[in-house]
Amino acid sequence: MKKSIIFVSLNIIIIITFSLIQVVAANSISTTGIELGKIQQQIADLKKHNAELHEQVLAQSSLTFIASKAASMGFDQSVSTLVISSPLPIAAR
Amino acid sequence: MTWRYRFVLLSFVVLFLVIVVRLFYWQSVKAVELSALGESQYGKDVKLRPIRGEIRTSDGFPLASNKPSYLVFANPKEIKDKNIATSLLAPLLKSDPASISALLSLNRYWVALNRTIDSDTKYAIEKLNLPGVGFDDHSVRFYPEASIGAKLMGFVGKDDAGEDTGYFGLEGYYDRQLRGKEGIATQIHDALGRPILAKITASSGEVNGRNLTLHVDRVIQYVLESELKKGVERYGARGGMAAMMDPKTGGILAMASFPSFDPRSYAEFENEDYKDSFITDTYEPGSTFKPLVLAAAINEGLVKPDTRCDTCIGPVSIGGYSIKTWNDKYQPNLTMNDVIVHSDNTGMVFISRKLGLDRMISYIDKFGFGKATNIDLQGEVTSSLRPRDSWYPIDLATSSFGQGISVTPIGLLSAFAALANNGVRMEPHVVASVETADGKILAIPPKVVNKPITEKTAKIVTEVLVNAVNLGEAKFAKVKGYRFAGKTGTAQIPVEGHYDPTSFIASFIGFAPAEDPKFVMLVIIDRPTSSIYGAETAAPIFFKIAQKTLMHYNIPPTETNDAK
Repeated sequence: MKKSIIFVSLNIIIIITFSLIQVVAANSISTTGIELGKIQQQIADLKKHNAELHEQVLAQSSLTFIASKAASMGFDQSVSTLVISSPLPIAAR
Repeated sequence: MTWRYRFVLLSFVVLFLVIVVRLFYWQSVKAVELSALGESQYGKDVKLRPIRGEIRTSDGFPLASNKPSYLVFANPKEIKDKNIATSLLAPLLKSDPASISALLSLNRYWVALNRTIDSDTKYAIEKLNLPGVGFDDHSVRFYPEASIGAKLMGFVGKDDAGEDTGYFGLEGYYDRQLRGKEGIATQIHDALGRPILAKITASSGEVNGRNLTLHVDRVIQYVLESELKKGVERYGARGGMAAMMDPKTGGILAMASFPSFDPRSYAEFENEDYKDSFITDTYEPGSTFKPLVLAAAINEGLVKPDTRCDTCIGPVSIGGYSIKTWNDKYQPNLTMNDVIVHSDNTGMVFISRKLGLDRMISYIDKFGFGKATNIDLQGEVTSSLRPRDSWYPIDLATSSFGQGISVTPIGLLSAFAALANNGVRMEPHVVASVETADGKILAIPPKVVNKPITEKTAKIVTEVLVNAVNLGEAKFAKVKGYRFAGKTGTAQIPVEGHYDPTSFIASFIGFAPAEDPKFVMLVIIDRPTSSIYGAETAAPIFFKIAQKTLMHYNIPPTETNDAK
């Protein structure tokens, strides 16, 4: 009789202990999903921002943009070529 | 006791059998239906759209990329003051206030206000803090160089199912590579239908599109397109086209045609504007065809550059037709070199008679006419050649100077490039390599088609073509200091069985530097009005583009005596 009381009591203590551990553990990780969601949202926002910056970089490094910008700043296209070096004569007299 | 015992036992057995049957019913007969019902209760399938691959020039700069775009929607039931919302949203969305007001007045929970707004507009709307207004993001095609290379690229439109699909040019030809593979994911939600996690889980199968890197040089494409456009306007032409190719690899360095379209607003243009005339149209090449006929005759050992024409004393009569020179002037004992320099039609008839019909047809075939070049662009047509039995003596004569025979511009460019590549004809190709979604580069090697003429013949014809540039009608336009090999062309246009006496196609084809060609280029001007001659219209455009190309490649002049 005494043994069974000890056995039952021990079981109850174990159940209560594990229940408490579960409560503490669940409590500590209960916000992980929210945090994860926030991190994922942050990643998505950064990717979107990167894509927008990529778009701006491409638009402003295009030849079309550079040519119009250069023209507005007064640059002109070169019309002739100046070659400094010349080939050596094959047979100089 | 016994019957009670048996009754209880039998009851348990019956109950057990009922349970077994019921389980079989749920787990086998209704399994699929229940599984779908279960999935619909905890989640729904969401399509994951892949990012379309980029189209990049040889320096890695994207001619076609992607940018974020947003669909702005509203829940009319959440918007209390519709007049204020309309007055705030209409200017930002650049829409008619009446249409926005009408959408917000609908008895619905969701209406799309605009399907493609950019990031700046989205942020401006977000700042308004309007309740019931939201955004859905997606990706749309973005063209950093605007309409540069539009005909080459094609555009991305919608198919019957409303999915993005490439049409024309590279977008059409490489659509399956560029579009990637759609994925399916499950969005888990609670009993009320609210997503449990922001992240979609268990995605499967999504593969982004492959990126294409072209042979196209961005600088040359820009130069070719802008000079061609200016030329078409300057000479009052109906249109124009040009393309440049690396004769050693067949790589297309630039290609354009006008009228063109803007891929950003393709729907505003006519269907005709989408076609790249350089691969979809045929025309009679006129005198630009002569060097190929001469090459055939030299290759067969029938003539040499100094062979004299003993029939070039006046117009030649064949089958009731009289063939004259373009200026009706005749020079007896003209050499074959002079025939090309002065673009003499009677001299070409002399060559064609030496060549004969069978050899002429054989070389037309060897140079690839009548067959597709297999360029990797959507919409290439094949020029049709008349069957052997339908050739009359007059056809042999006229085809020797490029009339009565139709070719595609890409076909002529590909054939002419063989002269610049020691007689070897390469398959023209736009894409140099394909980059897979995991970063693996798949190079597309140059492909040799055939060798219609020997290296010796190619060198001889090149020298003849150098003389044609230095001494011919287009010598005034030549870039000083460089050796060009080229030929002008002024061809009549056949209309309803006869040649239109007022309409011409002016062209110039050539390559440089003649001793080690870096490019071969064909410029075609459709019905110029200021002058009909290729020497006065197409040639100046050719040399302007060539000059900038040589500077871009840092190729120094080799003829210092006339360098300026």
